[in-house]
Amino acid sequence: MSELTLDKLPKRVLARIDLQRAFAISSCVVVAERLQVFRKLDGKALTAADIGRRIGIRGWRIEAFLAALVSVGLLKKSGQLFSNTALADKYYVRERSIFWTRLFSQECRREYRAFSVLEEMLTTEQSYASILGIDSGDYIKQMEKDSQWAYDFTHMLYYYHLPHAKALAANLDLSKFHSVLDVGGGSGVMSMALVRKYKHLKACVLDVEPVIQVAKKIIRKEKLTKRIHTLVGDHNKNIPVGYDVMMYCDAEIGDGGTLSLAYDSLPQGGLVALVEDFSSDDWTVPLYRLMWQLRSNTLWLRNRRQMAKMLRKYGFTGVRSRRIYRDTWLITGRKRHALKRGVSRT
Amino acid sequence: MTELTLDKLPERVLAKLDLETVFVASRCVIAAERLLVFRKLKGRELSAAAVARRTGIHRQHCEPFLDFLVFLGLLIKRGSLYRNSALAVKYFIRERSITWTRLWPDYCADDFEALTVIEDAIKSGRNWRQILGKERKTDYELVQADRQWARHFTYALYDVNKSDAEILAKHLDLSGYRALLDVGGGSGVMSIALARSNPQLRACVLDFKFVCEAAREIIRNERMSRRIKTLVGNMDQAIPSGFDVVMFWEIGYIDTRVMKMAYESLPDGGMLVRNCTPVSKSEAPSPYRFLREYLSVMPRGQTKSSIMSSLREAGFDSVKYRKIGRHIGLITAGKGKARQQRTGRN
Repeated sequence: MSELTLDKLPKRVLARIDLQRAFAISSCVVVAERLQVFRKLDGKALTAADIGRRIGIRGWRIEAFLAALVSVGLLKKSGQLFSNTALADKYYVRERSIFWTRLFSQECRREYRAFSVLEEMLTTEQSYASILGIDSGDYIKQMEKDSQWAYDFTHMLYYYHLPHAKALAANLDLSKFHSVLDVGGGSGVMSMALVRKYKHLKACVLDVEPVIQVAKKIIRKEKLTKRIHTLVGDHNKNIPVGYDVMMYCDAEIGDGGTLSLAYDSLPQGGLVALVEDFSSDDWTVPLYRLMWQLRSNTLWLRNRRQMAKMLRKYGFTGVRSRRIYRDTWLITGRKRHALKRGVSRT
Repeated sequence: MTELTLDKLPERVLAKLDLETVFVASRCVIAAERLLVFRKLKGRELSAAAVARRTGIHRQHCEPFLDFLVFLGLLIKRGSLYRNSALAVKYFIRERSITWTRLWPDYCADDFEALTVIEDAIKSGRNWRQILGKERKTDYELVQADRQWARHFTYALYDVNKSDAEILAKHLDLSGYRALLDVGGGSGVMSIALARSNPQLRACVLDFKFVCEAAREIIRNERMSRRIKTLVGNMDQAIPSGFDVVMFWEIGYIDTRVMKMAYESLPDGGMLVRNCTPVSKSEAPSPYRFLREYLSVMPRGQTKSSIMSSLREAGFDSVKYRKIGRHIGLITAGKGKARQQRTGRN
């Protein structure tokens, strides 16, 4: 899945949008996704009134709303009929799963709301949730509360991570390892790519209960139940032993306590693999991480150099990092055969 | 004043900004303007801590925030010091008056907030104000109620409209006319340009009390007090007579009743001047039309054709339209046929 970045829009469109007012366009596109406008128009040409009926927009605003999408080149208008442009078709229908359409637009709405109080966040230590008096949107609680949401969320990440999984399998040599613990492994997409490449390999996906329920179904559908197991647990509290690879793909690593647990659980010579869109040294790549840091009231952002340093701090050696796909990096480290003297892990 | 439109951002920045989340970039620039970041950095190079002290940004948030502005190409980072880039100097300091910096980002922040409920509003047909439970005073109300705000507003519009005034003066021939009534003329910026290009012309700016106070200062500074007067009044109540040109420039929605009053006030052979936003058939609709209509309490903005038919309905004849600038359409209408309208300078 690729994103519709601004460089893909025609220059004449960009020339008409003031940076300080760009939020208005962004907001319309997010709502269009929330209401699945591009999907409703897939292969069709409809009048404004028809679209209004199908997406539930009332009154005179539908015309202006559709005009905003025409103005950025996502819809085209021929007479009274609106249809998707090639741009909308590619980025919002063909290359995007329905799960991404459902959840990412929801996420964008929440982020949008958070950024409405940016000055207050920047000048105080308060979070947007406390300023706005709303729930901060803990996704684990959300999944526990809503099984449909858990289904959508896990599937969204499954489709999103397919190319990452392919890249990981191409870049991570596990020929000398036997079993992977896929920590916070979600749908198990990474494990699937790895076990398909290494026929001797077995994997176990560790995640919270609602995710595991969905992961089991996906693994069964992919006919990999014999080689990939699942385990319900919280990787920040306990990591099971018996695996010679600990893999963290987009799993919250926190302050490093998790890595300490991983180190303890691995056998000597075991491998830790971190796969994530780690920030560049200047923090600006990938940009979304810096964006989300801006609305957070705690400093959680780490760059690649800090992550590698943290692995060394907890005793891992031979730490290496390499880019495997777009902004995604793989950082690996090995557990020493015996702890070297003088290395502090506290 | 020119705006920092998206096409002016470096290609590498555009390639990283996703259309759905560009609201973050937009909102950060609004916050930077509200917190006067670029002005505090004018001609200086400061550390994040020093910027935090001068702007009130919390120390924890300052560095990621400034790094984000670095990414956008608005700041330059050298070691741990930040300074304005040429882009920020041009668009946020040199070409922008302090009055504009004080007012415009507040507007943008308010409009951003209004769009937090976009989905509810467009689905329910309710006004965003009702949904947010917020009463926001309109400009119309503010210029009458708040002297300081009216002064800033008048000065800001004076700066912004200077280049449009030059364009108007170049294209509108008033050599055969003697007295111009500039209805809702604000700072008098249009009258100043027209009086300068038509030495026989005298003008009168009709506006609210606090606006007239600021306009008098501006007119005095421009040494035009002998030829341009101000008059406190409200166009909704009366259009004074004694003028052979009545102009309504950039003052929003005007109903036919006011056009009829203008018609009555003009002598035979008099002329009415209005602006409108030009839209050519080949041109995509404005990206901001939706925002304008969403924020407006009125159902629709006025188009070229609706303005022209309203003028005809009010009694005017020889109603003509001409595009005189990229965003400027000029409409002229005559009363009676005694005098030939001349709307072009050749």
